[in-house]
Amino acid sequence: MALKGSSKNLQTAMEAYKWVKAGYSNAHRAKEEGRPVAWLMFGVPLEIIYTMGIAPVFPENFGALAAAKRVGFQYCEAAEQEGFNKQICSYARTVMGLTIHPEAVEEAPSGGLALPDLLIAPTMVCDLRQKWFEDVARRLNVPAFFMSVPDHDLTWRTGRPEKYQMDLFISETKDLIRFLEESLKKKFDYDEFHQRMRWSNETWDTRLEILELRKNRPAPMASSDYFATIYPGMTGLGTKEALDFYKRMLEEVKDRAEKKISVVPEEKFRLMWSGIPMWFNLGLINYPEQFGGVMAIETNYQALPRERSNDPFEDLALRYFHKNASIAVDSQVDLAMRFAEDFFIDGVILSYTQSCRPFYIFQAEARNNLQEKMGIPCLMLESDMADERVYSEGQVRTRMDAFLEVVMKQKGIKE
Amino acid sequence: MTTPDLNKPSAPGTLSHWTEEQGKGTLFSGINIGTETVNLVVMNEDDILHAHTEVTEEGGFIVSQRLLEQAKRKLMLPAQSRMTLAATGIGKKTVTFAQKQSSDMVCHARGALWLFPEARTVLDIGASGNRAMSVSKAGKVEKFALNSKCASGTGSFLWGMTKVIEASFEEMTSLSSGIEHGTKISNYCAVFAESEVISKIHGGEPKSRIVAGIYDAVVDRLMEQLNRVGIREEVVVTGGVARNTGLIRALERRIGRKVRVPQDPQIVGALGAALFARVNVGQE
Amino acid sequence: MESFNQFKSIVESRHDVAVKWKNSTGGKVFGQFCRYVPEELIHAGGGLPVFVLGQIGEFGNVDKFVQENTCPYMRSCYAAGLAGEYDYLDGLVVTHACDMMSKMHDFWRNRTKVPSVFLLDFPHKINESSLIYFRNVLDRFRGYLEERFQAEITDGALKESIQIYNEYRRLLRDLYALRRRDPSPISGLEIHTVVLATLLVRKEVAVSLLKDLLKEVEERRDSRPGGVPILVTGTDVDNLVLYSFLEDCGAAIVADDVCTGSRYFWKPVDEKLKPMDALAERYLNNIPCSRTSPSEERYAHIQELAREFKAKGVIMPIMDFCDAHMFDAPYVLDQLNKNGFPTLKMEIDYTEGGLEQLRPNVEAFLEIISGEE
Repeated sequence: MALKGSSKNLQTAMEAYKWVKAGYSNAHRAKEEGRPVAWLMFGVPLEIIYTMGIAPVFPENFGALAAAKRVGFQYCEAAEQEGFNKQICSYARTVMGLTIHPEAVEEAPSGGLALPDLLIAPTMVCDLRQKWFEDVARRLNVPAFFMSVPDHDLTWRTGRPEKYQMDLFISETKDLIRFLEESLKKKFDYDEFHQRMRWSNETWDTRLEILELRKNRPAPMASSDYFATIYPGMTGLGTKEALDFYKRMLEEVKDRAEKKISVVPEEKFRLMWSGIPMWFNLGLINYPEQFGGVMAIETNYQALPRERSNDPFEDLALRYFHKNASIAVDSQVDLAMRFAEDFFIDGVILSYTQSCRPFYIFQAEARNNLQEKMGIPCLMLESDMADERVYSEGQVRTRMDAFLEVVMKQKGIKE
Repeated sequence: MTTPDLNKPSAPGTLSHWTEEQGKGTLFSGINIGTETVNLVVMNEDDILHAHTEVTEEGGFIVSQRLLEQAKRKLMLPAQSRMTLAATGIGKKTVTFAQKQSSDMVCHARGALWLFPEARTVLDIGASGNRAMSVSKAGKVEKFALNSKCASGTGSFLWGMTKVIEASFEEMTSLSSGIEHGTKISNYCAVFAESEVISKIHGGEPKSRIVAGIYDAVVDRLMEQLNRVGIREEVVVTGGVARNTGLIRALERRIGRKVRVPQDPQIVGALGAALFARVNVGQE
Repeated sequence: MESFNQFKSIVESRHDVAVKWKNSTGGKVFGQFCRYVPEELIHAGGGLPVFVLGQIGEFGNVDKFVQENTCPYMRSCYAAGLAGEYDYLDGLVVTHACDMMSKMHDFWRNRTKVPSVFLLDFPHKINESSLIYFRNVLDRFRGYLEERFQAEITDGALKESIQIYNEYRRLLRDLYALRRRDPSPISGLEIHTVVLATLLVRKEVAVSLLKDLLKEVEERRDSRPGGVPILVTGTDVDNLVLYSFLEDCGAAIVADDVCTGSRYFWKPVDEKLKPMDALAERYLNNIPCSRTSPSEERYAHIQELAREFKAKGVIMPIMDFCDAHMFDAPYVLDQLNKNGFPTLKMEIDYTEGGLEQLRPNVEAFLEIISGEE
């Protein structure tokens, strides 16, 4: 079970890498041409960024990219020499390694990250994202803006945020716009913003349609396709190009669903992937295929049904607060259980990525609930999302084989 | 720090008087009570007169007494003689009769500097942990870096590997000689690294390359500490594991310069303690 | 010291202390993990706010519900909760003050017998909008408490509670000031035992105990063991074993920047403002935790304390998996080094064995900075 890339079924998935390349080279070009470059954490409203003509760079994605190119851990080592503990998020270590010791890797994947003029991070998901950019801001002497947002663990039970919670989100969003206007000496174009909001909502709806189709049996696409195609949605939301990409993807998936074209010749069992994948070993997702098993769905980064508003600021706030986006333990366990049922799942792989605690802390309870309440076998795979030094081939192989045996036995499949 | 007045003639009937008469000079000793090993060094101002290393499970108090008796017999010192003793190491507090105590790391730096006056970077590779120190000309430890908790101690890591590779330390050294680039072993957890090596052996990878890879992996860990303190010439490597020539060569290749290894790399801590005992000379 | 022993026994028998209080007064006990909870509100309603503590090295069967590779302190507290040690709580207030802590909300709600858990959001950023937001959060917190107490919390009662808390804060600052003496008349272990004990009783009780203690400490003449003066900064909520370990290695802890130390009581609540506004303002603007920004105030606080209490070095214990502190560490330690304070970072795992492993390092560090070579 040596580390390898994943195989994809969709044409759009196979093309998606071009998006990644384009994103990085666009930022490098912008730097050369004197256009503003901003480092962003996921969660910043991209419609605003694109309206201001900023070339976005996503350091979190670089963590994944460097890992996929098998050089991420070298940057991590460089960061550790600077005193950053091994337990810290491996995305952060990768990027800090790149920032402080770019010489750690001879050829940085995609030319590395174009240096920022601005740093923007929302305070959601985890504490580290803010500290990370605070440190980068100090080292590179670049202004940083933090969008302070309420904890959306609060709203997932009630579903609807209260006015004071919406108020904070909206006032921070408007502050962001003001910050950008002042930093770039440019007025915010509200018309363009509204257009971009329309595009991003349509993108969201398109992605929802694709999600629904994945309930089909046999599965028209696998998690390997999904992880390859999330990039436009996470980095291009609010652009026409991203919308067109997903429209094409929808057509492709619809077509395959109608013709019952599946991932394996005979779909014998369906698995769910929960958690961040090991970017340096996406090939693991395809491993069950040799036994007729398809990784039919995954629990993260999904576009899910949510409330809407005609006011774009309210709409952004509702997108942030929507029930299904919360990473509270109960919310994630609930999501895992719903997906397991809706997508006809026979087994769940919980990717226990050691350096991302906010994201995986629910997994023990997810396993408990899935196994005890739904009788669905689960496998916890310990590794990391970007630091390949924390991967044990022997351990993963043994556990994976044992797990698949259990799943197939339960389904009455003869090997 | 007071410098002892070594020119002052000592009173008859004292140890100093006796050893001076014997031409041995005033004696001091240092004892290092480690987790598995105990080291004793007896010296005068110029030379190490006696050094002893022993793997033992005995308590620090008992073993120090025994080793001191042994040392006195070897040096033909009168049985009732006493010499100033300083203790270091994890068990230093058990040596209740020691006149002074000093921390292990500081003793290492002191000892290394005495052996190699040009030492500015000291790397101690032990069974359970590694540490690097940068040392000033005056012998002060300026910076130090220790291995992070999860990374395995070099000695035990290599020891485990000898079992997996089924070769002794010497065999490992000769196996890896001449290999420029070993197999990449990336897992820093000793347990997982061992299974990584096993699967590479089964995969048909030549042992020589695997051993070179093991050394490279160890050097990776050592570089973490070295880079944190900064590498300045001369680099001195101490600790029992420094005897492993293959590892030293791999380290030299990585840092691009030669390192100094004492003839007996294990006694450096005890040596530093003996040097510390010197400060207290004059009383019996 | 006579009065010190009272503090010690409060910490050692904390559950009994809380249950006894509950039985004798009929009042309600609220647990909390974090100093961002405006305790005055609980106090004003007649309740007893107590810090939920773990037991060093004790993790029970927590692994079944929460993976390893997560904050050992939170896991130990949860183990205590699962074992039923906190069944007497009438409510638990979980602050969204660090990732791991806020996730505890669901864990405690689902698997312990604590009847109600309230998630108190705390902004990551200190600014105008956050203040308005936090004020709203406190209004809801008050509403929640009133519902638990089945009684109104009046502004008048709140004002009184603020006064008592401010007196408590003043007394602790006075106690801390005594550590400027050389040698300090109170050891690090003693003072942290004292502070920890005051987190487990009503503040008026703490005030009376502190008054007695102050008198005794001021007059203390028996010579305290020496030690290298050290400031401790980092993740520490309840880790008395850590302080006794450090002092056993030869440190004399003269100052700290920890949550159950100076950060807890350093700033008073402004009694001139309306009580709810005053609480929102003070709790939001208190010395920030590592995960709140901007962090400059915290860095300045550390340097100021190190200078004021004449620390010779700074030791930074960081709990395993504590992202915020771990990320800060390179910068904070670097700044301290530049300003002439040697530093030592310690990775702690809330076990005694973990501490012992670090003994050689701590002893070496202390020896080096004491200049005794």
